[in-house]
Amino acid sequence: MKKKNKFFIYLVLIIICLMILIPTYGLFINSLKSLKDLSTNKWGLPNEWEFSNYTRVWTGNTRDVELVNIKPVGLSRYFYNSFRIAIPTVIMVLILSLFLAFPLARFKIRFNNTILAIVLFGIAIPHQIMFIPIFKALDILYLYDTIWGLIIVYVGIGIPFTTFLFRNYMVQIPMGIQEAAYIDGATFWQIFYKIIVPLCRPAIAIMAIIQFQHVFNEFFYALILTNSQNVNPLTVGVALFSSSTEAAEWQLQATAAMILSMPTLILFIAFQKFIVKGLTMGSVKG
Amino acid sequence: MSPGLLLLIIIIVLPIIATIILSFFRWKGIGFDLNFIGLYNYEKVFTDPRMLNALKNNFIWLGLFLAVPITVGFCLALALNENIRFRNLFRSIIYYPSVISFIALGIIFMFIYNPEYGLLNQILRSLHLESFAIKWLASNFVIPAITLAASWHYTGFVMVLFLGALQQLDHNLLEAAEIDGANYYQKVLHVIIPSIIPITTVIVALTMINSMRVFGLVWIMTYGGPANKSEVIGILMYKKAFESSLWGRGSTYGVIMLLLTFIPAFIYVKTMMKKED
Repeated sequence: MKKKNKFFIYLVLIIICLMILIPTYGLFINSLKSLKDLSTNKWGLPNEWEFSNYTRVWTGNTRDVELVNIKPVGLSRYFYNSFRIAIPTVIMVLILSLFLAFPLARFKIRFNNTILAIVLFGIAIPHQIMFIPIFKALDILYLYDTIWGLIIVYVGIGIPFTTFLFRNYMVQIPMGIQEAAYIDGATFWQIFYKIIVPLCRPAIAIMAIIQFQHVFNEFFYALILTNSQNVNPLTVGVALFSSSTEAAEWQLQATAAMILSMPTLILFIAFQKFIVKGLTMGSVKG
Repeated sequence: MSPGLLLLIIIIVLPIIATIILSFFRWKGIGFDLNFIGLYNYEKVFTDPRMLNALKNNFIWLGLFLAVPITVGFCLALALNENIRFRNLFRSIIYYPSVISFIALGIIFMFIYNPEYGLLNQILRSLHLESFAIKWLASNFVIPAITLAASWHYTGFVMVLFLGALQQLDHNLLEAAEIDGANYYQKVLHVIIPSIIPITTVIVALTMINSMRVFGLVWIMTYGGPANKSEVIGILMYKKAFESSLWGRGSTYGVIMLLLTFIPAFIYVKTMMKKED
């Protein structure tokens, strides 16, 4: 590799990375400035590091005037809601997808290709188009504006992609292990539970992380299917906060966005290799 | 196996059929008071100037998404495929925007596009291009501006897909080309690009689908404004159902989004199924 070419490659990479890091820096910086600092200092480091921005946004004491009888809701409530929604969703998606992927990957069934096609179709189709039947269905079942309503919808949305990736992963497990177990008298469930699932542990970890990100970052159904503070996830909470502060103290919007990005960012930094590997494992939507 | 198939049908097939059926009715959303009105919803939708504007916006989005993230992502994947130092660091930095939710993304770029404090206008002013320092999110460039923010988010994802494909390339082909005297650009053009046609098809199909389904980013940055200028189909769908209580009409928009994404989805499914052989 010629020295000149390598230099060029580094240059392009560094330029792109700067274009990515500068907005990030901007968000981080602005989340720690006071309003005066924001208007005067603009893009430099904060003159005073206002960590109170975070406590205020978290607890909801963002107004100077205390409104009687209206308890301010900070992002903490929404943050908690998002986890209440995301964790059961991820667990259920993983379990159901493993059940679905196992026969698809390891057995010759007549409808194999049809089912695979439906799964792929489920990955490709924008799930927003079905919002009206889903809304009404939840309404009928008294699940509108409940945590479990959202969980059920998210599980439905998450199953196709997860199933497909598990299937791809399972297909690569040598048939020999399964046949040996079968000869030894193992039942369907024993093969599934004691052999396949343990072998899929890396894939399970990867899909858990990816699904968590999807659920945590989702906005459309979060907006439509929830209404009250007890149920709104963090994305909706930040969006509501953003449209309420308006011109008032908009450095707090940066703080809110930072809080919204923290969990997925931390997950990403901790598990980067897994996440990138999971994407290329099947080359599908991430 | 049947419970799995049943689950899939309930999750995927039924709601789509329900949406299609509902698009032929007038429905206020409360109760089950449905009036069959045939193609009336479709008539109204296709003659609505807001719809045509939204369609235009979605297609502008598509064009920009095909131009920017895919080419930049591909070039970055080529770069990262080489043996350079800090490879993993670069890859992480380039991919990380994809894990940011659209709401936070919108806030990040609202800061950049702000007419007075925003980074973009500050840079333009320091280059003495003050006349270009406009109110981006209120101008005729609003959709390209929002799409740029989305590209910031999408490019990393595309790059990772290309990188995965590049790393699975057949080294023998590349070596053979080198022996035949090909330089770098010839190798890219005649060996690499033909080899990654499947993944490129998948990426293009997904890009087409993703351009039609945008919602969150537009919602937070402009809510379709100013004066409905930056509306997209997703936003219009939401507004018609929830602001105007026209649930049959909202389903019609859903059907239109389905029609727009059906062909890319079909191409996607076909390409992925072919890879199975």
